[in-house]
Amino acid sequence: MFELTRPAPTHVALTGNLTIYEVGEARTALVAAFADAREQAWQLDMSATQEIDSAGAQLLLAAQRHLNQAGGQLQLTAASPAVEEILGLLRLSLTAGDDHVR
Amino acid sequence: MFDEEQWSQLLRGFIDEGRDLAKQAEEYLLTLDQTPDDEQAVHGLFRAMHTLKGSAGLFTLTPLVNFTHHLESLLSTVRDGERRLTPPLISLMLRCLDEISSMLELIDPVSGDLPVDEAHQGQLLEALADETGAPRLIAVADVDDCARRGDLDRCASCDADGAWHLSLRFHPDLLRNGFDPASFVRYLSRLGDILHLETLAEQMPDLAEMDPESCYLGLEIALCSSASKAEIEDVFEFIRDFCTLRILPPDSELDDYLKLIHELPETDERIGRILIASGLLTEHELAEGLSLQNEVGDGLKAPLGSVLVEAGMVPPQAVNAALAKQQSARGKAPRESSHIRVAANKLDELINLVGELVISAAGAQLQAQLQGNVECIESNQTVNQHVEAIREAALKLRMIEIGDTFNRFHRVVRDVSQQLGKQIRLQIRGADTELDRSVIDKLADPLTHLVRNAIDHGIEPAEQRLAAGKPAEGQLSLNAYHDSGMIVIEVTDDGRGLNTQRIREKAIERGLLDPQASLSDADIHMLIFAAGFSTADAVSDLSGRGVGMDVVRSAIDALRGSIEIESQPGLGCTFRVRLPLTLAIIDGFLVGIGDEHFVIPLELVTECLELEARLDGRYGYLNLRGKPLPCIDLAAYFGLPSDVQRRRNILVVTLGRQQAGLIVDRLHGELQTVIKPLGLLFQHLQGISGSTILGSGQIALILDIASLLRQLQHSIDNELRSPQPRPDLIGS
Repeated sequence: MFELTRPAPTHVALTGNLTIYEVGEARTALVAAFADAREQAWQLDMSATQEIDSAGAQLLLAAQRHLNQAGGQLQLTAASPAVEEILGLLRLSLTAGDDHVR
Repeated sequence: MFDEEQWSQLLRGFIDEGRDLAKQAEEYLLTLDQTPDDEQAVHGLFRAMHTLKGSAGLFTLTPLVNFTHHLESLLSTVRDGERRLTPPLISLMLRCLDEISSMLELIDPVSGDLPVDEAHQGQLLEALADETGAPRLIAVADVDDCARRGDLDRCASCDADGAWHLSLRFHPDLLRNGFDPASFVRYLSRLGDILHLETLAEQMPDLAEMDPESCYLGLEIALCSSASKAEIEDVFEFIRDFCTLRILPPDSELDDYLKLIHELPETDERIGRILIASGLLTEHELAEGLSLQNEVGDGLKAPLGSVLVEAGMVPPQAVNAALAKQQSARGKAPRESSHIRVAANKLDELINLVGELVISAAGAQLQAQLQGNVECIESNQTVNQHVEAIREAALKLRMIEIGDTFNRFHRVVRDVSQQLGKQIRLQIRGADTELDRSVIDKLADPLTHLVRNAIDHGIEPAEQRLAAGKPAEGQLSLNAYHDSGMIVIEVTDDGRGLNTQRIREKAIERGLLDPQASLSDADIHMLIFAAGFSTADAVSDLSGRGVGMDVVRSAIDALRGSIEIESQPGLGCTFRVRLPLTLAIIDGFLVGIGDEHFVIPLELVTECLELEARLDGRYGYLNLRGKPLPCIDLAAYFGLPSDVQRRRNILVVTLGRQQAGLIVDRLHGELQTVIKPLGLLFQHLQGISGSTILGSGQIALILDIASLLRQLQHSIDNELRSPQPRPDLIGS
């Protein structure tokens, strides 16, 4: 179970799980959400994400790049413990203006 | 791709494999129950669940995949040291394994459908979620303290000499196969401190084009650890096929790092910077090295394989470890292929054919003897020798060790003793004793009854044991061994023993015993096998419902076996089951009564004597070297006309500790006998356990010695009792 909501025009919130089982659906939802405003600074709320695995982390990384390439940004504004754990483990950061891939 | 037949065959193969895996998993769990730190068992358990999930996925058995997925995730946290398998968690997982086993049985091998009891699974998963709600970290080991200092070249918290460098590039299918790179990082952090880690995703396409289920990731890791190269490699054992792994030991030569930089698919600068960031190289070394390499040119583009062979690249210890690993891998290969799976019914077919062969070979030999042609007799004898060898070999094919059957009792003992709140240790001896598969299959139920009975009635609650001066923990042992052509299985407990008085009272109450009857203690004990007998004062959930021991008795009778009880009040009780090794073909001793032929299992025959005295009636005693020998006149017993003019013979048979004489007309000698079970109509016949066809085409009946001896004992007791009561009964 995965759900993407858009509380504000450049603000997405992911609830439910973001694992190998959900990434396909999540990718489609993210691409659609970003489509009209890739150059904007987006905020990502993952405080209600329950489970996340490497596939989920990889998707976040791809989403960040997707926006960066068009001049936009993706900033993680809130993260559940599970999200923090995996990002910390893989040393990935999703803060404004910092594409960790230099 | 496959036609229906092939598909269903593959599915059946999976179900078989699944059963094995579930059984393995159960064994590992029980091992972990005893020794929670057994890493091999944890790995084995994880692997079993992982394989099961993977294979179930191939057959799109979604409910099974989902269910095993939960167990697998749980186990991966156990493996990573984040969680401990507590006894309640083990109990819960055992129940989950039961669910998996029943799911496997529910799979329809033709359609591949799997009906699911979602409510039950939901309960189990909920319980699992409750149990595992918050993973408890048990091995933190100052990782934070050390790992945060990503720019140090040494780790302060350990004594290892510098850091390992690991380069991992994952196969695109890694995630789809159920592996998660993050879990390997977690696991790796148990071996040491991760000084530096960088996740690479250079090859990842844009979000709009990527396949999010493919893995585009790579990891560069600096690990400070005193582990050996082999140990580090082992972390990635599960995904060996799904990643390329390069490991550089601490303090490697500059050249080696440079080679690594070239080997990796990313740009030299990118990797160079990571190595600098991990403190393995300095900026200066890198610049110098790269310029040097550019001069050397192509020479360094050699593939990794040949590079590794270059002397001095890896320390000797690592080479040895790798060699040892290769050798063990090589050693494993032939062992794995030395077993083939054969459907049991094919084996049964073979045994049946061998049985027919035995009969027809005996027929040919008989004909040859009648013809009197010496060459013909000789060549028939040779054929017969070979037939005998084939028979032995064919029967051996079906022999399996009893250990597997015994091992399942670890689970039974654990469950039942928990239910009853008793502490019981199960000891197994003779697990390698071999027994015919068909016997083992039919033995499981009676053995389970005996074990449950011992736990339920035999072993006392801890307080009573302590009061009786025994250790609080009860001992239950299963023992198997071969004894004169039979297999003996003993179920022994160190409990209170059988209550002879109570059994006697109960038997009288149930009308199973005449109140006047005088029986030995051993005979009274045997009464618990009578139908409808139960002595449990409290009818528990497990046994004591009055069905049970009679079921044990009839199951063992059906196997042509016997059972005896040895009980010592207050000290314990042993149930000893004797069974023939095989059910299909036996060595027999052929005897004649009138015109009829009978076969007695050869292993029971101790000697043959000429009959001197006469016997009145069916039963009686004869004098065997000064000792009374109870005898049955088989002619009288079966109501056959007997040739009274001829001298007759006695065949002395021994079963367990009982000895008896069978009076027959003629002794024909040994022969191989293929046992044909009696038809339904004749199954109630006393004293006969089967039939066989002789070489002459005549039918011979196989005597059921156990039941004959029981009747003999019974009637002798009756005769002794009826004329006059024994003195000790008078006045009672």
